[in-house]
This record gives sequence, structure tokens and C-alpha cells, in this order.
Amino acid sequence: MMKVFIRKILVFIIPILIVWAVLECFYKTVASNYSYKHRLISENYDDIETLILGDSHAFFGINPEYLDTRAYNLSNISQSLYFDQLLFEKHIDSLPKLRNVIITIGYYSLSQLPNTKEDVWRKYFYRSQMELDVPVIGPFDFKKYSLSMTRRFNKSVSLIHTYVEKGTIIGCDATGWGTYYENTNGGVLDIESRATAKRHEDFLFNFEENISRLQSIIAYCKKIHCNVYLVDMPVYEGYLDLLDSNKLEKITKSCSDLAINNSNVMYINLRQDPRLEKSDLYDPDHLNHKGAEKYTKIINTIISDPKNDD
Amino acid sequence: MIDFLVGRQLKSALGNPRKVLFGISLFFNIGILFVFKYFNFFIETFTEAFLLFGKPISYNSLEFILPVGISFYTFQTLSYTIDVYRRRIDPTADVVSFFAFVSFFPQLVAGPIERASNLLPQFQKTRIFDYHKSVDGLRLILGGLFKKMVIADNCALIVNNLFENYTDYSGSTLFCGAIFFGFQIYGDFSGYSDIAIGSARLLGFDLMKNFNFPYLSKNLIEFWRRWHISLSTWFRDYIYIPLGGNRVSNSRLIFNILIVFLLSGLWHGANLTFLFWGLIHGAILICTVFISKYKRLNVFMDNQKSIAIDFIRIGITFFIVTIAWVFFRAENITEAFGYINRIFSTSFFSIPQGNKLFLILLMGYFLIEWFQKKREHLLDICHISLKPIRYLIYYATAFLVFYYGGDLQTFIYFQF
Repeated sequence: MMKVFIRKILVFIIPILIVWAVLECFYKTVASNYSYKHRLISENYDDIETLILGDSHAFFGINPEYLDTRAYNLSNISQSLYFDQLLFEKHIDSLPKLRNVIITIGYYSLSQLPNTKEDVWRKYFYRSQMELDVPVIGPFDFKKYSLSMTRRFNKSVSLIHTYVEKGTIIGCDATGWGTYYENTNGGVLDIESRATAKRHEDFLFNFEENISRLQSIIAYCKKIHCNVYLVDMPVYEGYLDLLDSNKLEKITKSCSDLAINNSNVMYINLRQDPRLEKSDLYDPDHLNHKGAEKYTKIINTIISDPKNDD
Repeated sequence: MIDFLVGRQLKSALGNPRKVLFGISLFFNIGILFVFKYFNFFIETFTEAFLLFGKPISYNSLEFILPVGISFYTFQTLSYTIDVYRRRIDPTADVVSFFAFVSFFPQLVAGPIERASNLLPQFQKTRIFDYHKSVDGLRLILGGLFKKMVIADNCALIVNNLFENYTDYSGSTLFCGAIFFGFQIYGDFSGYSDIAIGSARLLGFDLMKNFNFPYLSKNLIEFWRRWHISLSTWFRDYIYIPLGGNRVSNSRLIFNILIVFLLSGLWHGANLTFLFWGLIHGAILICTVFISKYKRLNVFMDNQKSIAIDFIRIGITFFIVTIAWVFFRAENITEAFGYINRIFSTSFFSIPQGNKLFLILLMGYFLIEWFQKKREHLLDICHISLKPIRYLIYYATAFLVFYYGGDLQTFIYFQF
């Protein structure tokens, strides 16, 4: 009877295994933001002068097209400083022309811990599709062998649906800039601010680990005569009002200290920039296409200014 | 180890030494539970009481990490000692079986709280593979995953938001929130129990049933026969009956019921919210018992044949249980009363905010339970003779688990 039982279980799970195999094949063969960015940066190693790192604020907010230097946006949605450092260390020795590194600093960037809920599936994609050695993935973590196991089934189905509909699941252009936050009129910013602020509130004030990550990047950049720009991107004031002002102050102070103590670092604080209009925003803390163009040009003006060099 | 050794000695001990041995076992079991779970609660309550009388006292609270499932396995070993003391079972001489009984992995952290008379002998006999039992075990696991991942985890997202921001919502929305919590805790706990019972069944062990479609109960007495059965029967056998049960005077009966429900509340956690939850259940259960005693008031207690009256009775019981859940879920007693106050405001009659479709789907799930009420469990569908239909139901359930499984949430009862 046990043989019958085992045989029936195997027969029962065959359709499930087929679905798993199809999903695995999809993730292994269809290019995503991760694999696309990895391929393009590798192809453009010899030309890149400016490297952009950071989370969605950089991904959607800094369009390399509007920078004077040849730039590549290696940021990604929810990319923490932990992965910024890993990516920087992986590629830095292959970028002979690199002069600038831009890193966006948001409300939670400095307090974010590695391996949080945001990284729960992303870390496997960094490992598998960006060829990073990710220490937070344990040696016996079976998910590193199967990308389809890392994502929820409904997300995978939704990605396949997007692929069938649009022919791609890549959400950025050839310079790495995120393209799907199109222009909006900013009508629901007040409503969204509350939920966004609540989502971003982590009640963490320990910046030590992330500051040391930044220091490590800064020290290496100094060695290769490269400037580091820490950019606090503009956000909606209604959202800003709901954030912890003590933490915001601490972020400003920490970044300013890095700039004061390192000659190759500049802190560009655009958080409360008066030039920001509602129509520049996609949501309370992300720029849309129009805002990305406007603020990339502003950042470009600042980093191109010879007074700011050394 | 103490319970094992005490059990061995109790076999031959007589008179006072027997009582001393029994006392030692009770002291260690309840003592450990008290230190880990209740010490801080009592010391803080005493301090506040002294403060009320203008006599501030200083104290040091203990900073322990609560061992997972301590309430479950403490009660399990207590039942062993009590049964041996009462000579209802023979103490085991097999230490491995005893340890396996206490730490049997499927039910270690959240029950069902097994009795030694049921589980212990199963470790000692040879187990033979039983095809039908194993298949039923898999059905239980699948049904349990559905309850946990689809129902409980999705409800949790709504419930967490509503309880955290209850001042922002209308009474009707908060009442829906309480209903969602009712489904969350049911899906979470009965889902875990089904998975535990199913896993044990695959290994050839029969664990006791812990839930029997409790939300279909027509009164609170029935509810407690169907909800967390292993705990309610534990309290019945080791607290309620030794206190005299229901063969006592009315005042003593009220006392017995209240004691059992207050202890049941306290078992869940050292917090006034759990005590209140127990008190509400106890008070309404006392009313139910007295209504059933007097024939004139007995209209709602009789076995009616009308489905409409059945539904009304189920609805009333569900309403009471739902309101009581607010105390169980709230972080503190102030929050619980604040939440209840807002429910019973004029906004109770407004249209609830948020996702009403999910509420309708939950009511649909209610109906499925209604059709399955005479079966062993949710996926007990062996009476369906057409194999393709059975397989379709299994695959549909598996699909729902994979596709609609909510964000991972810790099992609620792991904290107890």
C-alpha cells in the first residue's frame, strides 16, 4: 500500500512540478531589470564616467541621459546600501574612466538593515542575475537554486502576464533609468503621503553599519580620485511632515559629516527643494519622468560645477 | 524528567508520600509556567495596586524569553501526572516514549494538548502503514494550509491595520475588523491543528480533534465543545469537574464556571485583555446555562428543526464570540474598550469602508463549512465518488494556497 501511496503522490505533484519548471525556465531565460543592468554595465565598462547607485529614488529619479558625463544607473527598487556596496565592489575595478559615484540617501537608507522583508526575494536575483556573492544567503538555502521559489506564485503569474502583453519585463532603459513612473498630476499625493510615511517608518536610529558601508565606498573612491555625491532626493512636503524630524536631522548631520570629513564627498540635500512642483512627482517620494529630467539636470549642474571639484 | 520520575514513584507510593510527590510535580510544572509567563504580570499588577493606595514599591521584573509552546506542553505533562495520581493510567517505564509524548514535534508548540492515555500508548505499539489514514493526513495538511495561508494570513493584513488605527474607522468597519479577526484566529489556529494532526497521521499517530466547525455553534456551550477542544476538555476534566462541575448549588456553579474561564483567559497570556475575554465568555456561558435550566426561557436552547432559527442562533453566538475577540486581539484593555466603544457608536449603521468582497468570500467559506459540518474536516471529501471531482477540489485548494496565500504571518498561538 505504501508504494501505491507514493506513486499517487508523485502523480498528484506532476502538474505542480510542471508549473514550477515553466516558472523556473521563465526566470532563467527572460531578462529582468537585474540581468539587463548586469549585461549593460558589463558591456559599457570602458565608457562609464558616472555610476549611480541607490534605491527607487535613484532608479526613477536620476536619468543618465541628462548628465554631461557618460553615466550608468545601477540603482534598483528597494536596493539597500548593503547591495550598493556589493555592486560597487564587484564593478569598480572594471571602470577605468569612473569620475563620479552618485548615491541617493532616503529616509530609511541609513537605518536599513540587511536581509529585511524587502530583500526576501531580491537577494537571490542579485546573486543569480547580477553575479554577486551575497553573504546573507546561507549555504543551505535551497532558494538560491530556484528563482521561482523566491517569488510568490501570484507575482510570477503577473510577471508572465506582463511579458505576454508587452514582450518584456524590463522596466528600465539602456542607461538603467526606471521608465514606468510616467507623468502624473499629483492629485492624490496627500492621501498617499500617510500610507507611505507609515510604511517607511522603521523606528531605527542606528546608522553605524550603513555609514561604515558608505565610508568604505568613499575611501575606495578617494584612492582612485573619484567623487562621491550623496543625494537626498526631493519629496512631497505633506509626506515629509509625517516623518520623524529627529531622524531627518540625524540623516542630514551624518551626510554632512561625511562631506566635511572627506574631500571627495559632496552632500546634495534636495529633500525640501523649493523648485519641486506637484507635477514632478509620481507619488510622495518618487519623481516621474518630468521630475527626473528636471532634477537630473539640477544634479548635473551641481556636479559639473568646477568649483565643486576637489 | 521530574514528571517521569514522580510518575514512577506514584505507582507504589501511598498516603502522604503520594500527596507530597504529586505536590512536587505540580510545584515544578506550575512554578516554571508562573516564572516564565506570569511573574512580571503579577508583580506589575501588585505594584500598581500598592500605588493606588499611595504606597509606591520598587520591583525588578525578570527579562526572560518565553519558551515557545510552554503553556501547551506544561498542561500536557500536568495531565500525565494528574492521571497517574488518580490511577487513571499506569505510569510509563519507558523514558524515551515519555519524552516523545512531551515533545512530539507536530503538536509541541501549539497543541492539540494531548492526553497521556491517548498518545503515550501509541509510541509503544508497532505502527503499520495505513493508506487511508495517510491520505486523510494529506487532506488535513492541505486544508490546514488553506485555512492558514489563504484565510488567516489575508485577514491578518486587514486586522492589523484596523486595530492599529481604530480611531480612524467607523463602527461598522471596526465590527467587520472584529469578524476578520475571528476568521484570522480560527484559520490560524485550526489550520495549525489540522496540519499537526495531518502530519501525525502520516506518521501513524492519531491526535485528538481540536476544532469542530466552531462558528456553526448555536450557543456558547456548544461553541466551547467545538473550539480548542483539547484545552476546554482539559479544563473540564482537571478544574471544572474536581470543583464539583454542575452538580452543585447555583452560586457554586457560577463560581466554577467563572474560575474555569478566568483561568482559561490567563492561560492565554498575562494580560488583562485575556482575563476580560475569559470573563465575557464565562458570564455569557453562565447566562446560557441558566436559560437552559428554565424551560420557559428555553426557546433558543431547544433543538429546533427550522434552519432559519438555527441561523439566528448561530448568528447570535457568532456576534458574541466576535465582540469578545476584540479583547483577545487588543494590545491593552484601554484599546479594547476604545475599539468596542467605536463599534457601538452611531457609525455602526454606516456602510463599512474597505474590501467588502473579501468579507463576502469569508461568508462563502462559512457556507462550505455548513455543508461539511457532519464531516471530519474541511477536505473530508471521500464521500464524493467521482475521482476527477475530488482531484479538482484538491488542485483548486492547492492553487488557492499558492496564488492567494497572504504575507507570511507567525502563528498566533505560538506566543502561548
